[in-house]
Amino acid sequence: MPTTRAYWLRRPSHPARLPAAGRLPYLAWPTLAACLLLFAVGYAGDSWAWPDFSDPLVSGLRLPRIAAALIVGAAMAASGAALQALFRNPLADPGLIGTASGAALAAVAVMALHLTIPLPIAAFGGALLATWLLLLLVKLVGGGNISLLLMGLMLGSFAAAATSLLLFLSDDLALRSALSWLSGQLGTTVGAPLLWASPVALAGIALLLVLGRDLDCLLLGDEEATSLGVNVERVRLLTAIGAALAAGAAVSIAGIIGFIGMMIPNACALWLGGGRRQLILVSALSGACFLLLMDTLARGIAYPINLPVGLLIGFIGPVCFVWLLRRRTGSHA
Amino acid sequence: MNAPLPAQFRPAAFADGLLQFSQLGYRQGNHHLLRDIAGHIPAGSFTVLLGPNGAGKSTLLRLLAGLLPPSQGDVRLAGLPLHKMDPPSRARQLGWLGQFPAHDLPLTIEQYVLLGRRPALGSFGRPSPDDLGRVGAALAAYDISHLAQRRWGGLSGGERQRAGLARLQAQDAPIWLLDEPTNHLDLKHQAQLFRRLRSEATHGRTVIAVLHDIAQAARWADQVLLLGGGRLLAQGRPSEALCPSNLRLAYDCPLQLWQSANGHWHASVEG
Repeated sequence: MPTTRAYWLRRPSHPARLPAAGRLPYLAWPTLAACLLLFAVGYAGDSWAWPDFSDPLVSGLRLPRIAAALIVGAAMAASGAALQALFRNPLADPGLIGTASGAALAAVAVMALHLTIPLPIAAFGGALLATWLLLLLVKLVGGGNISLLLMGLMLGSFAAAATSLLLFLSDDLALRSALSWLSGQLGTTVGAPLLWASPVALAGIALLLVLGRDLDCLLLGDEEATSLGVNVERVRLLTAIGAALAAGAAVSIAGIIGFIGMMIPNACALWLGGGRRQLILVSALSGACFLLLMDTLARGIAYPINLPVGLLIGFIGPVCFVWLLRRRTGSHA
Repeated sequence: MNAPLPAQFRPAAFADGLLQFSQLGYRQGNHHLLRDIAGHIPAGSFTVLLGPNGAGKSTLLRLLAGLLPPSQGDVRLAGLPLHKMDPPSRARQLGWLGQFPAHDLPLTIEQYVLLGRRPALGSFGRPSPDDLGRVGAALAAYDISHLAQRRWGGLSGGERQRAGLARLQAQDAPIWLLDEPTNHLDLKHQAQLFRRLRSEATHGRTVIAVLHDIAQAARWADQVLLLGGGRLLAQGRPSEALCPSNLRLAYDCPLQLWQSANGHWHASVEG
């Protein structure tokens, strides 16, 4: 009987056999990525032209924006991949443990209260502060993994409440700029803040890559990890710090861009599988390409209006997520 | 498969017990899960922890593995208190197989078993041909070589349990601690597992397991620790420690353990 369900809801017919993505020749992916990059550099929103690098519009605006997309995508996806192992929960992402909400709160505070601190520094400080608070609370309360997740959720909703309060109290101009920042926009951060945030994001990703094998052990359970010689508490602390560095830097560049941290690592785990170190690396690369693609689309889709890429992903993300969840449950049936 | 163990772990070196514990107790809040446990585990022996549900078997196994800090007394490995050892050096001496395998891993079985080499490789070491050889041998030992490239998610409970045993084998620690290792295993693989544990012990490995099957314990173990209500009721050779009066005391019901003509042990509840 022919199925009438939408194709993305269909269960895979051979759950054990993975789709072609994992078996694509090694050269195909770099080639695709290079094409995407070239397209993004030359794309003006309504037309494409061979990029002229002496044009200040290209070198001063478009290139930093592309660099920002790559770094933010990589940082969000890598920290998501690490946090999913840390919490043994495929839904974990930097937004979940309050890191992103802390960064957002700090940034909105700067905008609403007209403070003179640069926005990226405030966002980054907020992310670190939220993570530090989280680890402190967990240390006070105890209870390990579940406690970390619940505390993160609590901290996140507290920060969200405080953000709403600030928005409620702020004047119209501040409200508008804060809202547009909260919806996740690339291209507003160029120059020094971008140069300053990039190494921090890369340092965070590097720290998470270092922890790869220990995160694999952590996925087996705390006791199994300890019995394999992993210092569980230390790995937990370092992962939270690495994720805060990467996600804090990302939020400081682009505001809140959701879904990448959860979706990309899950898709990579489903298609490629493998150890956490490989997964973090592949997620970072795919996250970078995915965000660049989305941002390029966002530039063109409502030209000449510059749609915030966070909004676009907010629409596409849930659809992808339902499809992904369907595949996940399909492969377990 | 059975490379000779380092000199310090050969049976003769610890006639009075490789693992020793005295006055051992564990408390959760005001609830005493274990108290006043004293005993020793000889090197190269197969020891089984027995007792009814909630007797504290798994807790004692965790204490012996150094995964829980005792609230009272201490466990000494070759004279050194376990909780003073750092995790990496403890992992080179003690291998642990818990009761609950992970249920969602993106790893293949081969990658999973390779995690058993983590104590030897550290966080960064690349697996050498020797490591991969050990992984291959461990997969073969538990009949799962054909699953090596399969994902963890597609495996049955018994296959996961065997993969866990293979991981323990690949870790190659001189002491093994297993919490109900026969979980999910069919009778053939249970028998293979007991033969393997027996032969490992004969070759100098110290094996400690929590089991529910008294008859299997009587058949295969060198010594049993019989627990009941958080106390150690008996320790010794199965035929002596599992006498009817001890069993009645532990399980609070009339149990009988008897040997049939072919030498196999059977357990049954009277009445």
